[in-house]
Amino acid sequence: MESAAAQGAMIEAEGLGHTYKGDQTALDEVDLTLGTGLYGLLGPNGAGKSTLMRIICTLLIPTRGTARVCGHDVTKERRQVRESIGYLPQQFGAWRNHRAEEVLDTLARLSGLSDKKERRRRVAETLELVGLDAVADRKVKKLSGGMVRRLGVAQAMVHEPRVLIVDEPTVGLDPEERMRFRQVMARLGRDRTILLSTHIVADLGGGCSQIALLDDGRIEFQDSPEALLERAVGKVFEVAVDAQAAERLEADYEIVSRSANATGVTLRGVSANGLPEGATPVATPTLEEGYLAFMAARGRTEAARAGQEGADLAAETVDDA
Amino acid sequence: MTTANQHMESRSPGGAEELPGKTPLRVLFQEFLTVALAEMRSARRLVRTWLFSGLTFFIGLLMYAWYTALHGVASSASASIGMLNPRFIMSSSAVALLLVFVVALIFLAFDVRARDTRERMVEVLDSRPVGNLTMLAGRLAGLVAIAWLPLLLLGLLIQTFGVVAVMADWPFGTPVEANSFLAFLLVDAPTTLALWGAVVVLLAVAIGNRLIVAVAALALVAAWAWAGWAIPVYLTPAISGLAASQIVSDVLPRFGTGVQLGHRAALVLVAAGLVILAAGLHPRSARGERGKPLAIGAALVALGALCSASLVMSAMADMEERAGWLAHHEAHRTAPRATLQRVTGQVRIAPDEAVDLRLEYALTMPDRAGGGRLEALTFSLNPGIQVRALALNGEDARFEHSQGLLVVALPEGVAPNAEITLAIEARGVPNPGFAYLDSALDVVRMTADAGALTLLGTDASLFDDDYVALMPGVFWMPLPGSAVQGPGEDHGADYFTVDMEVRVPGDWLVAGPGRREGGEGDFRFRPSAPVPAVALLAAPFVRHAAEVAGVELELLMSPGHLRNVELFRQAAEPLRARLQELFETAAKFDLPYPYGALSAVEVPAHLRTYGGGWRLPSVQALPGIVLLREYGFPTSRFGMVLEDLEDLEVEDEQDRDRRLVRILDRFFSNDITGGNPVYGAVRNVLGFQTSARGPGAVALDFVVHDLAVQLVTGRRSGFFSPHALGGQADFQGLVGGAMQSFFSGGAGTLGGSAYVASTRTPSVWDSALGAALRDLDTSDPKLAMNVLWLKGPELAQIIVEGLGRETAAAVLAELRRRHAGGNYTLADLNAAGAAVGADLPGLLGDWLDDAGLPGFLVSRATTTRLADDEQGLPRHQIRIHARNGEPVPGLVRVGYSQETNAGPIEDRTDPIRVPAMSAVEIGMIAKAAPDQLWLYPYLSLNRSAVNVQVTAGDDVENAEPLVGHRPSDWRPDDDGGVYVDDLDPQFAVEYANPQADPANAPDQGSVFAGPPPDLDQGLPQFVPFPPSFNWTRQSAQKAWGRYRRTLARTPGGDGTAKAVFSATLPAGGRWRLEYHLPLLDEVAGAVIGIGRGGARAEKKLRPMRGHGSYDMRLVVGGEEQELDFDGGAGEPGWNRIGDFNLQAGEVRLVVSDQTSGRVVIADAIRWLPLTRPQPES
Repeated sequence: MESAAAQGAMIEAEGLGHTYKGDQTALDEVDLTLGTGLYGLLGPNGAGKSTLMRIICTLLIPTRGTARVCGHDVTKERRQVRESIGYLPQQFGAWRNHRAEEVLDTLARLSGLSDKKERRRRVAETLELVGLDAVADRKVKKLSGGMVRRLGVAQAMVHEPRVLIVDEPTVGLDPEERMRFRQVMARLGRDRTILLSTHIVADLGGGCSQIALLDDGRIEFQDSPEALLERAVGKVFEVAVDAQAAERLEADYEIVSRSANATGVTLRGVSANGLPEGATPVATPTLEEGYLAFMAARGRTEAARAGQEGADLAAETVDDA
Repeated sequence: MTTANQHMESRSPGGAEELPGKTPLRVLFQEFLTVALAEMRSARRLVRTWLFSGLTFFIGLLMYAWYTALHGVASSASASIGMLNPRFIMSSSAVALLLVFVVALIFLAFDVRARDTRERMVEVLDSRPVGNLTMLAGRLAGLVAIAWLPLLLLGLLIQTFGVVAVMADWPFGTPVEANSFLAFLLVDAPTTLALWGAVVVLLAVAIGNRLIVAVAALALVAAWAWAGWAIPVYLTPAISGLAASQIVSDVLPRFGTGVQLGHRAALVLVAAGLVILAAGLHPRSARGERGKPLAIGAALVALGALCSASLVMSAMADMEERAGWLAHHEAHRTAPRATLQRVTGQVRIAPDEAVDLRLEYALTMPDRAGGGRLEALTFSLNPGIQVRALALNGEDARFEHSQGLLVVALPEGVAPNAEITLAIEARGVPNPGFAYLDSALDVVRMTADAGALTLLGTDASLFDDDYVALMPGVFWMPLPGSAVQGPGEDHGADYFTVDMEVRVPGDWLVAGPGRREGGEGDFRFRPSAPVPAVALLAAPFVRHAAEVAGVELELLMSPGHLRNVELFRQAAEPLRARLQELFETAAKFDLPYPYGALSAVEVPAHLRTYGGGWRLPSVQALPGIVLLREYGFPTSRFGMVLEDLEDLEVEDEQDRDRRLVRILDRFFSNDITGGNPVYGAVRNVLGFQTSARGPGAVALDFVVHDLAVQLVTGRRSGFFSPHALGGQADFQGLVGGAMQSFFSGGAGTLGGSAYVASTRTPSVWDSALGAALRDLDTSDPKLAMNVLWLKGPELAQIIVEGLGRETAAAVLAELRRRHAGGNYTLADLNAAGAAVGADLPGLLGDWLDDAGLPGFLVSRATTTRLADDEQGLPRHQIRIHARNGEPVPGLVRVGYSQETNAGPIEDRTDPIRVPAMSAVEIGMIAKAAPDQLWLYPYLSLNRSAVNVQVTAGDDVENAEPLVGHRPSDWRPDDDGGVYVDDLDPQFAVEYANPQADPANAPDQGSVFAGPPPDLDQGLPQFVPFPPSFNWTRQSAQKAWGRYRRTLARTPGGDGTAKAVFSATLPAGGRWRLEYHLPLLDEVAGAVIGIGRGGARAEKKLRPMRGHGSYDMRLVVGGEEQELDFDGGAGEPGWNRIGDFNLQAGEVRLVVSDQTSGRVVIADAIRWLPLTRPQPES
């Protein structure tokens, strides 16, 4: 039987589950098969995204099921798995008294890049890629929150791992940095596996191969972005109303965006149970709308919105830091 | 740009694609190094790293600077201060230095895991393909390196400074001895830091909370440090991990003993095991992954502990073996032993290999008082020496050599007192542990508290590549009797002639008894006089020699220690003259130096230089040899004192050279470690010719030796008691007391001050008065030694000054003439004295059997003007009576000091003998009437000089002046009074709370205050600081007393502590009660030298303040009466309290500590009869 890696699956999970102490089930019967490409992992807070990522990164031993990375079992072949991955955790910091390039150099060495010349080249390249080349010799404690986040991205990539696991990578990044990040991810996704967990659906960009939606520890959707969008057709609407009507609609429906115009307000929203009066269905919803529509259909719009708001708040907080 | 897969191919170890040439071990090492470097980078950028590094660096530097300054300034003053040489600092300071660095390491390592969490690196690191062990080991290595680097820098700085100082010939500064420095830097420090770093890492991984980790680690370090302090020295190398017991030496440099290196290896094992345990406990470990590292880690820790335990067991086995030897020899203590008459033969010394003996003994069989056949003779021979052949009177003899006892079977027909020969062939290396088995202080069994004693050496013999010391104490050659049969007590020491050939390596020299004949490694010793022991010291010495007064004097030094020899070479002539003077003095006194040659030999610091038994006498003097300890003259610094000499005005070169000799003289006089070579040389003229035997032999020998030293050198022998160095409290007490005495003018030299501080204490006096010297209580050997030192030199001085030097010397010469090669008793000494016209019993009484001492009462002195002398100068007659109130004869002098316009005038009488229970009248002529007169008793119950009141008369006396002394029938006036002094048994102190009584709860002293105060006849001795809250006793010249003038005193209190004067009135009637107050000047506890310097020693510090009303009650027949007494309004002397009508019988005056002032004095009371006492009906 050919190995999963040989067959193209870089990440596999079968019946994966994890229950924390206190009987809190974070993951339940997760099946996943990911090959080369960019994969998005979406879901509200507490859905189990980080738990899944930590299991894949060998930081957590699952209580049920199996998972393999590049054909290596995450519980039995942990070193081999670690050799294959680069990981950016949700909470990332670095040695505050080290310079940016020192951090990268050290972590590159610890990831197996022993050749000094090669390592220096990779460090310089990676710093340039994430836009930190100008502050390479600055100590981490002197970097802004966004810069630290970019450093986190850099350390995950510097050794060019086959599998990249990134958890909320764009928290704290400004729009330009996010766009650049999306471009990098898209480019990297061409020849490696990237599992990207985010609340910001836009982070997935156009290069995303598949999206998995995790809710309450279960994968509720795993398909291409197009498939998600298809499902959202008919559930996403647009309507132009006056301010008063807009208030009523905002109370009754999940409003995705709001723009003012000369006569009033144009609202775009999602609905699982029919469109409001006067609304027109959106023929080509965005991915974010597709995600919200999906969650709305599950009755989880509050949760989805809370997750989105939380992501925005986290971004503001990091920026402030 | 390469693809990810291609890059993965280029670096993935252990994966599907493996790069040729790269092994997992190399990868592991690279990871380890990466982690270590990252950790070092993190650590060195922390403020606390610099803080701790700076602090530890500074402390280390301060230690070195302190030793350097002290040694540079003071080592020229005393051979004993040389122990504080910065070159050998590792032996005394390595422990403390390492502890400081270990504490610093704790504060670097305690957050090794917590920091990752705090900085949110933990997941990034945990997801790296680096093993837990590599991660933790790398971090540990980085932290140890950071903690160790300041040590390296400190060492380099010190060594550089030291080298520069030596090259520039500065008067201070020297590099630390290389082996000890390297051993500390490369072995001790890294292994200890690694161990404690591993402990902290384990705690950090297991506990997480860095505060708890720090506290736990510090507690463990404190416990470990305490253990290192509290465990016996012999276990230290095997347990504590600190270089605590290593003696550093230039002559015998050692990188570390096998035990120490083995222990360090054990530490490394334990450290490795702890790190592996930590790896197993790491939160990153999966449950299934923990078992293996936990098992391996535990196994390594156990293995390390086992290694350490085996070292401990080995050390304990050595101690048990030693205890077994002692028991075996104790059991044979009284076994019959022959008397050794002569030893001939060959000794071949192959360094670091073995010593070969081919010796023939001429012995005299013991007398068998009870008759019967003697079946065997016992000898002591070191267990390290194996007997190969033994023949008795030419025939092979059966023998057994076990536990250091050689038992030789005797054939039939060997009669008592017969002369026999014993031929022995033996080979081996002496076991240095077989020596001084009955030592009162066994330094290896003591704790690190005995650090000062350790510096006197721990090895009784040496057998090394570079130095061999065969000391008599290790019985390297067989000697008759058991090893614990002390000389003098039973059999007495043997004195035997020697004709010995000694072979050593060709470039070596050997010191032995007498003049050395031969050369190039083959030597012969055949001293012309018998010896009590043979010591051989061999090494590649550098020799300097000169012939002085027919004696060949040679100096044998280590090649690296010639600086001071060169320094003093310029003083060779005055030095020779001084030595010539000493030898000629001895010869003049008919005590010629007997051996023809005297070798002063440098010995390594390891060599133990004191003997065994309860006395622990110095063994730095041997027949024909005096030892120069490496820490003394060879390495002391004379640069500063010689620079000072350059600055002084000297008359000429000769004057300068004479001053040099005086510097050297002072240097050795101030030695308190038993190494004065002059005193050691004097032992050859008498102590190595004959010695005392029987009960009291120790005291007899002591006095006779001191007498010899005083006669030949004009000084007493230097104070030396290893007991004074036996513990930190003892050592600090000795040094502190000596410094106090020295700076208060109590004694002119440091050695003298140490003597005074050790012996002139109330407890020593009490012990001296409590038992005769023959019956010294050796259950407290330190006290017994101090009693010996208190009385011995004083008795010798009485002999010298009472008989005169010539007569005293004649006594010794006669003693030597009669008993050389044998032993003597007190009766023999007295007989020798009688033969030369010296009445020793008349001078000293029964000093060996009687604990009593003379006690002197003195009258007022009167001065009257005499007719002017022929030059018209005024003359004043001083007369005084002195009565000896005790049944023991005594010796006194009288003296005065008078300030005049022309400067101070001092005069003293010659020593005056005062027979028991009799008085003398003493007269002196002075140019001016003195204000003060002193009676200086020699060794008496007075304990110190007695101040005499002077009454000036106006009349011009025309009678024949009295200069000298004559018998007198003077007695103190008997006023019929009943006197009670604070020293009388009728005086007592009572406490309402028994626990407040110091006798029930004696002060233990403290780190800050020092040892507890001495008890003076039941009351603590008064010391100004720290202040006592109890009744104490103070000596004061103006106090009242029969012989000793003391008072009891207390600070003001609540009235519960009371002094009680009980008196028994002989008859009823009217009685006046008077209370004695001393002169109202406070004397702050200055030590007053007996017989000398008393006036200078007593300091008047300030008027007594805080004297107020007293709480006094008279208790008669159960009835109490309150009495009025205002101490503040009192006068010096007797103060009337009141007149009372009393019946015959007991009356008590109770004085409480309650007062309106700040102090209460209880000196003495007296009841004077106002009416003619009525006889009791």
